[in-house]
Amino acid sequence: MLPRPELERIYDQHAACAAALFRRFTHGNEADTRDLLQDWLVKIGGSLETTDGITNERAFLLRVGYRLAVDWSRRRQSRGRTLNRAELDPTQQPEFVPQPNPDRELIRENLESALANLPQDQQLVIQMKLWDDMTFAEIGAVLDTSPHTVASRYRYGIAKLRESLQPVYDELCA
Amino acid sequence: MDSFEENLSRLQRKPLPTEWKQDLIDGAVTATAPPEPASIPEVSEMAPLPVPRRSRHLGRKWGIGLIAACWTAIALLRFTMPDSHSPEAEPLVAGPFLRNSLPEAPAAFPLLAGRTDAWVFLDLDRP
Repeated sequence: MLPRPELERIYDQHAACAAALFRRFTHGNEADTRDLLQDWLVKIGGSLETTDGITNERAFLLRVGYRLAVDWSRRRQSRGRTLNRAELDPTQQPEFVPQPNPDRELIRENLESALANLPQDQQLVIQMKLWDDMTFAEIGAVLDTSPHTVASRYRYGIAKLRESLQPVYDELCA
Repeated sequence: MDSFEENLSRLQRKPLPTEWKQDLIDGAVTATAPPEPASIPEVSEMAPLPVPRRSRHLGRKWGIGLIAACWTAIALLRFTMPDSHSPEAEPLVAGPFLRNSLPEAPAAFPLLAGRTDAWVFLDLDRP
């Protein structure tokens, strides 16, 4: 098992990305996201002795998290407890930091709802590309998909986001 | 990456609640800690070892004796009964199943009346 300082380092460096990934599955439910984070840390702490031999640590750890989240989601579906996007958790917190500038705050608010309305695979690709600075190859390694498929999902997702945010964006940039 | 994507990527994610870190890491460390080795109890605290029941021991002996008695009885019967294969022994079965002693077909089967070859299928001794 991993020693505690190593777990703390992993938490500091990667937990935010993992939590963002889990939120795509839990539809923003904080309690479920926290549970998945706990499972993720237990899985990592219990199955790894060291992280020395891992070439791309973030991709590896997010891949572990992605598989956990897929299993969690399937278990939930089998119990008939699927949440629709329309019935999001009312207690959910915003994913992005509220902006002091009202124009940017408007974009943030619209972005969160537009992102939540995308298909899940496009949400995952966009968030890893835009906010985790991962390459298409790294994202493909996390999602078990080819980089071309990832790039294609990204383009489709960005096009949909652009379409959703265009009225606000044009108005603010004009 | 165009200006639209750059604008989006400048948004900062909200950090995770600070109290989560301690709780989650404590939970992970506790869950992955190896189990403590069980302490060896003192001799005086140990429960007495179970004594094998005498009846079970006796039962095994009786079982072996019963089987031996059965074999003895079979052997005695075998050697005291007359040998049915010896020439002086009388045949136990004499009927339509033996070769060369096929009777005519009974009257109930008029098509077979007077024929003995139709009974060949009953001749179990025939190769």
